Amino acid sequence: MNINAHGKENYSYKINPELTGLEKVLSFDDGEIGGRLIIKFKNFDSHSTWFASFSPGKLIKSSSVAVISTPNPNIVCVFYSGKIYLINTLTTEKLSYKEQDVVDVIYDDINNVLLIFTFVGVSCFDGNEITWETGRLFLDGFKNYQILQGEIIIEGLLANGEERCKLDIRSGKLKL
Amino acid sequence: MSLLDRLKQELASIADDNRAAVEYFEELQQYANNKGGVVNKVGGFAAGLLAGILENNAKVYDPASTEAERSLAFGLLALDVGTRGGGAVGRKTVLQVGEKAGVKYINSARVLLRSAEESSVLHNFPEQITKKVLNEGNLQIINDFWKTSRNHLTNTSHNYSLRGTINGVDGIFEVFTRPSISGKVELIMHKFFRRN
Repeated sequence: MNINAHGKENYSYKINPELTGLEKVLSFDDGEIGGRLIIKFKNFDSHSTWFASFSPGKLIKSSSVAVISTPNPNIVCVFYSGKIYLINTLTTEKLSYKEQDVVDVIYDDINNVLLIFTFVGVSCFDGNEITWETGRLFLDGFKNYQILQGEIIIEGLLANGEERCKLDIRSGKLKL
Repeated sequence: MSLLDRLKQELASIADDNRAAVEYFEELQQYANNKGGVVNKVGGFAAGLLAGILENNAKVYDPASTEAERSLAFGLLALDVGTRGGGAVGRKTVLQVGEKAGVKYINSARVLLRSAEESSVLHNFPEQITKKVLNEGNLQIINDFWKTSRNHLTNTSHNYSLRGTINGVDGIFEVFTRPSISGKVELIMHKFFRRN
């Protein structure tokens, strides 16, 4: 059961549910080869139950799965083997966003944003759209990060040779 | 400068390059040992062994070493080569990726650790590709890239890049190195496949 920042429950989910074979499963797999992940969603506004299938990322082969809240009470983030999907559980649509080689995703309920960390940069989803993307920020990943008073403090080898930086969580701009 | 002086200078330069690598492998050994676990301990032992071999190598070359030090180092080096046989070839592959126009390319502790931490192909493409990137890739030289000074190493970054494909995904193979002061060794600091 997910509870968003506003305390309203809009959907529930179950990973790898039992299937009878009669269910209609929506595919979000982009035609990629690999073990599919099946998730059953139930949206409380539409009272609908539906199933979706997801494929893993192409270059990161791991079995890591996470279903993460977003600032939008109807939109869920599915993180599967280095790839993320932003899915509207009310309309059953996938948002046109193809972030791959994802290392970490976090829903920051204080600032009400979803932060997506890839090996080379950070993106921010505000519940409706991607509001900012850093582009190439890290050389090949980061070591550590923390969110403090509206800033994301990141440690790691940056593309400019520095080893630490601060990003404004609202704009994604580098703060010196 | 006499021929002997030039020879001494050359030997000192080789010794410096080996010591730069020694420092990295000692750092790697310390990191691996601190992490714990059987695999890391073995990794730490291997890194320590490599550092020892290089240090011995440096002492043999270094004209500033005393006769006793040189004899001992030479003896240890001979012992290592003598007792390890074919294993020495394997260790050389881990340590030295390639050589081009007299420049040796050596994997740094950072690159080895990143490839161990991140099991994906992004950080673990084959060494044959690394050699191809070093030999055929575009080179961009960035001065003062590294902010922390290291003994025997410059602060310059040599950024080699080559377009390619992994599992049907187009991207760029990146190999970034940090050259030694003598220019005879480039320590590989970064290896990554970045998708387009």
